[in-house]
Amino acid sequence: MSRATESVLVREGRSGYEAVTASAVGLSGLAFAVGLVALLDIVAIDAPVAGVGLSAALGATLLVLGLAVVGFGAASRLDYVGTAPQPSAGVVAAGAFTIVWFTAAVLVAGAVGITGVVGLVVALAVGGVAFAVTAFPREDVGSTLPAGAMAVLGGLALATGLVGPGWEWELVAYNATLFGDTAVPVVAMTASLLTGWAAAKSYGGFGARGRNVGAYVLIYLVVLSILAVLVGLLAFVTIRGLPGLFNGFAVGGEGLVRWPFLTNGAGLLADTAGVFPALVGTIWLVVGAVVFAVPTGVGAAVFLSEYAEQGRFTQVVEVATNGLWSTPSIVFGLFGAAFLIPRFGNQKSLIAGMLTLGFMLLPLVLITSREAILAVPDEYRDASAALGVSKWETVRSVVLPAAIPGITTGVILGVGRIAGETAPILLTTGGGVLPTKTAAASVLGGFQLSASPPFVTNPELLQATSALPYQLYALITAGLSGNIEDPQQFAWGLALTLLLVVLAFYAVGIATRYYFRRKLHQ
Amino acid sequence: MSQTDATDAADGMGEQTVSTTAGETVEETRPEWTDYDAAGEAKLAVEDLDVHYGDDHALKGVSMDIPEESVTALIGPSGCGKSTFLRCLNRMNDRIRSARIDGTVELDDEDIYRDNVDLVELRKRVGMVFQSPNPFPKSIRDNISYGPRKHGELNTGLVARLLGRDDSEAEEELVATALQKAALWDEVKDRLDDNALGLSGGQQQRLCIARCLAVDPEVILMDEPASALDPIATSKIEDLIEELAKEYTVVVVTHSMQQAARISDQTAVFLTGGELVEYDDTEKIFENPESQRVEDYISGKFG
Amino acid sequence: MIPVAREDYRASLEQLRADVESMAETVLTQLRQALSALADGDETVARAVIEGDDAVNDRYLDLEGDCVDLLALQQPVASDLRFVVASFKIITDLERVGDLTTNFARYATAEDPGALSGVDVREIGEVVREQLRAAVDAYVAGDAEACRAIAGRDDEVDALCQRASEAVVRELIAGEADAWDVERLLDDVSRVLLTVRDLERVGDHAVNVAARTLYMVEDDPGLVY
Repeated sequence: MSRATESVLVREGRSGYEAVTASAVGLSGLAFAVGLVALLDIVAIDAPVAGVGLSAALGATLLVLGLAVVGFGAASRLDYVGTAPQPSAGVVAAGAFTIVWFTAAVLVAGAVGITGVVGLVVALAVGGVAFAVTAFPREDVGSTLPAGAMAVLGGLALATGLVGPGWEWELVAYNATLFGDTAVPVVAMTASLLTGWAAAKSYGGFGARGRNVGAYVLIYLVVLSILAVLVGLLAFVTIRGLPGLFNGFAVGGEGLVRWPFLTNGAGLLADTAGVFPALVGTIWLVVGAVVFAVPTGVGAAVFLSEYAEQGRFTQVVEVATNGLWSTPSIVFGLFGAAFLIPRFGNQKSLIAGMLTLGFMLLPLVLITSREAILAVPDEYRDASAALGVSKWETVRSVVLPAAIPGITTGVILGVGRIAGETAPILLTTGGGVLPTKTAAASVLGGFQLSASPPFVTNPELLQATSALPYQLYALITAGLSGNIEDPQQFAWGLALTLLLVVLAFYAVGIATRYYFRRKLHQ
Repeated sequence: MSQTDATDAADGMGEQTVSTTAGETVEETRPEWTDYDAAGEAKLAVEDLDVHYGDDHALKGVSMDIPEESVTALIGPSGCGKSTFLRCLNRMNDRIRSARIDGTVELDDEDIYRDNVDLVELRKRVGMVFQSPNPFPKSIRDNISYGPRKHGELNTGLVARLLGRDDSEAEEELVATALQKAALWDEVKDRLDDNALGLSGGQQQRLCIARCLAVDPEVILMDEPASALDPIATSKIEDLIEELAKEYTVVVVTHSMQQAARISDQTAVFLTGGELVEYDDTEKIFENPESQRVEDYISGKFG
Repeated sequence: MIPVAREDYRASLEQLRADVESMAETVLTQLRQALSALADGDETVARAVIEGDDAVNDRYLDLEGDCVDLLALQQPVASDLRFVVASFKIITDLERVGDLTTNFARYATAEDPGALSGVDVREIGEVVREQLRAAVDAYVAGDAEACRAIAGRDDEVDALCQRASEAVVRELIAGEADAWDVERLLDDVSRVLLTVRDLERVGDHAVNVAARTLYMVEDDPGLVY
């Protein structure tokens, strides 16, 4: 009986194989990560590594991996190790390999010059072969051979310098050029992904366990790339924005801390230009939008969930809300410009911006609040009813407090969106491009009593003001520099400030949610 | 069969069987089996209660008197209408849209189903404890004082505190009394501010009972109160029920016949289809029931 | 009707009924043998009866254990409960009857029983045996009317026993005895009186069996005093 079908509870005697396959997985992951880093231009592909260029080193790695993976498959097929492969690698894997090989064939054919129908036929043939090689042999061969072969080919191309720094390919049809800077990392990443998966399957001995490990490695690598992009984005902005943000920063002196970027305006008199008015504007816009949207949204959600009969009406409201949430922000801006501005002094104003952003926030708050309220278990409502408590008191004291974490999540998500919106602000609030410090809205100090209704006014709310996204946009498009020494640095500093402001709002929201979750013992 | 023969047969003692065309024998239920003369005053008098959930006839013409300051158990197989019946006693079935309720339920001689009945008052007087413990996600103290605060009996809001008119002492006393009556005081007295969801299942159920007692009801309805609990917690609840019966009228729905036998003074047996088949002293039901179907059910022949 | 649930439990109850019936048959056989030994003076039969009582006692202990097991493990209610409780008491009565049959056997093996004429315990023995037989049959069949009949016939048993005792005393007074015969006479007299008393006791046990059976069938404890 073939050792491939033995099943024992405690696995022994395969540790050598497992060690080798595990290192293959690790090496693949490393190659993938290096490829990713090179793709993001953090490292150049001709950077020297152990005496050779990075591209060549990657190529050698891929070559080794490809051969190793083929070897794993062979070892399993020839029964040198005990594995439990299935009769076939399956249609899904076959389809994936077909696509990969087909694409590779098309690209290579194009690069080599075989175009047109001939090229297509060749590519299809290659795809067909790939399908056959994956699907028809036993799983251990079908998973490893196509992956290994691709890695070997790619590795050869990179190691021999066929594709490397300085390689270019003009795509006449698209009027674009593919450079080696892009091609090398892509080849490396694709090949290492495939070998990583195949090596992982080998590690798991093929069969169900092998597929399990393979899927895990695949998912892990994909998540890694997503996180890398995210971290890369944040790092990119932070690195470029820090010099601007801390321009002129000093500790000590008259005030404890001098932070001119945040406390100064951009007027001529300031020694260091700052974003104070825009900062204040953004903060007030968000606060105003939240103050408008949250009570309205939560109230509507309570009505729809607790009081309204579930039927036509609630369905229509749901559809309308979803539609509102999907509406592009510029449409909201136009609405604000056309509807709100005439009503608030026929000029751009802070309050118009607050309301517009509030309208944008409203659907999300409504949707998430409704979900949160519906998620509160009926047992609480039953218990409250059995104690003889009226419906509204039940909602107020039991249902809403229990729904707060969900509602807060909605507000957090919504604030993240509206804080960075430019189009509505452009149309409803945007004032001067490089405002001085005095142009910042002083809402708290602006409340006045008046003799005629509405008895309390606040002219500050009716002023046009700046906001961070708006100022960034203006800076980029208008190109005005005023007295700013380094516009680039200023712009990046502005972007970083916006990011930090949004993160600050997030932190407040998350802290609130955490607090309420603890109270509710969730 | 002649008329006299039929009468003679009907005068015989014990079960009556009537042959149907299918050859099965179906027992006739006799009204005297449910005509239980309770010792003491009838706290709740139910007359001809019929409940329909849409097309489903869940309760068929149930009439029974529930005596005060005692434990009445309602037993029967699943789906026989005992929970439906229980929920009619404090009008919790009103919360189900498809429910149609006919008949009268009198609490101290006042029909609770007539127009203009104040549901808040009714549910203050007739409290309910559910099968799965369902404490609010609040502190233990807030759970207990929730009812009285909502009824306006306790003033502990911010305004009251500022005006110096708040009832914190009264609240503490109320909470302590309710917890003592529910046999939970010793276990939680030094952690009243902890969230109620941190208690064990048995403790949570006793907390729900304390919460119910805090509004000072006259009747306590319990829908399978111990079915989600382990045996020790169950025993504690059963002991508690016996204690409570000295002061309150307790009606318990249970699917455990041993539990009904252990704790109740009188037992009502509902059988499939929403019928009340027999209602009598617990000893009578469990030692010598009149109805053969009841005998078969409690002996485990079916159900 | 929905198929019967708790099959093992039902089977255990049936088994208990069968076991009680079989123990009763054994005791009835013992009684018959003992009474015939008493009448014929057959020592072999008498000795067999005495030796057979151990088996009856063992049976009793087994069945007692079975009843306790059923109560503890199955929690019977209503008629099943009354059945187990009744059977529990009935096996006690049967065991006592078994002890009484060894008494009869012992009287039968006493040295040289002098004939006390006019006193024929055979008739009493017959009636008492019929009572016990009827009681066991009533238990097995669940016949309430028979139970009442048995209780009613107990007066007849008591009357017979009363007459027999009086007859013995009358003969004692009437008869002349010399010193030599006194010992033997006293032996005879006490033997006969004890036999009569034991026969009455058997009758009472038969009534007990009937009384418990009536309770089992109709929840009527009226015959149990």
